[in-house]
Amino acid sequence: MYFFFRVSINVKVLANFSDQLFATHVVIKIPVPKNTAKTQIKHSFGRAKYEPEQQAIVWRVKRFPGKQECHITADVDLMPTVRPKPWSRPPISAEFQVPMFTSSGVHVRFLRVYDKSGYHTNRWVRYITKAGSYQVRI
Amino acid sequence: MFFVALTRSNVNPALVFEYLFQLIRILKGYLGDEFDENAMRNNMTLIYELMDETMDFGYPQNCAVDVLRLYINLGNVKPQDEPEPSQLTSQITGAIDWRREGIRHKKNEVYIDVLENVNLLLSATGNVLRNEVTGGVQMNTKLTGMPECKFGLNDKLVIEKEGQRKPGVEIDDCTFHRCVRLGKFDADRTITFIPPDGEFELMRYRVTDNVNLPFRIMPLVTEEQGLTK
Repeated sequence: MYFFFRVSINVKVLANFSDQLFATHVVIKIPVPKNTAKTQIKHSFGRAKYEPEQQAIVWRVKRFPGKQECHITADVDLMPTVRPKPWSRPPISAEFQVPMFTSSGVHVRFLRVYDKSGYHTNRWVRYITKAGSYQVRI
Repeated sequence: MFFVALTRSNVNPALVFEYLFQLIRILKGYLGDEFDENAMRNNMTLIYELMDETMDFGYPQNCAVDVLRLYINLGNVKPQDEPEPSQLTSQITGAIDWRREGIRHKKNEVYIDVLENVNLLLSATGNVLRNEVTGGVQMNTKLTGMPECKFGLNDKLVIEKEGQRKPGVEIDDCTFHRCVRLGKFDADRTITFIPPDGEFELMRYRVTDNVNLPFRIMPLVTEEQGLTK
């Protein structure tokens, strides 16, 4: 007698920033059990595939526009095991970069430069937010 | 390669680490970013001179690469313009050792980069377990002379004091580059400084309240199990 498992995954991702902006290098890793045999993935954009060496479904989006909502569904068939171990369910992790956006809301109000000669200064300000450790438990 | 420091007395460990990190930065400035044991061996006299200059009787001294370059130039670093000896003395012993006098740029430019890292941990039920933003302000200054700079963020305390309507951001902790006048910051939270020339990190901060999460991730994972014969 063997146990037979299936895992169904349904993840909704919402870009919660202005639609004028976009995120780049978005990578979302959805962990799957070790004994994964086959995955069937449906998603609306980007590229997603099962990467056995990472033990995860890795979904990559090069350009993720703001206010966009995206679904990914996956049916994971598991290989039957003699002694089934419970799956530890590691968290989903995400990586991304959002140019011209600050998560904290910090922005530069001014930079004044005073010098005796009173010259004119050109100033450029850039903002970028990256994911540090961005995890959601499942 | 390891950098090791010895001390005979009970000193502040942060001081020792800071000195070692500064020394590595200086060596990178002189020997290139990818220096190795061979480069160290070949430039022993230079390194000896640098260590002699940066550490006196166990007390760290001037560790600014730009200033050291003015008078220690055995390596491939050439000083842009030879300063007068008297100028040099006041520079080394002066209060502003991170910037030398007489810097000239055709165009006066400042580039400011605000870099943030957002950390999040959500539980399976959607509760926020950890959520914070660590940020840094990187600057690249190309300014003539000894300019005095005043820098302003939308810090909640400053905005409230100025009586503006726009909401500010509550900054929990911040640290500054040593060019920032801390006394002035403690008194009225203004950030004033004479910047070093070139790239440096002006400040770092941490924000834990009202973080705008750039991505919402809503997972639904179910395990199904059955029996096969």
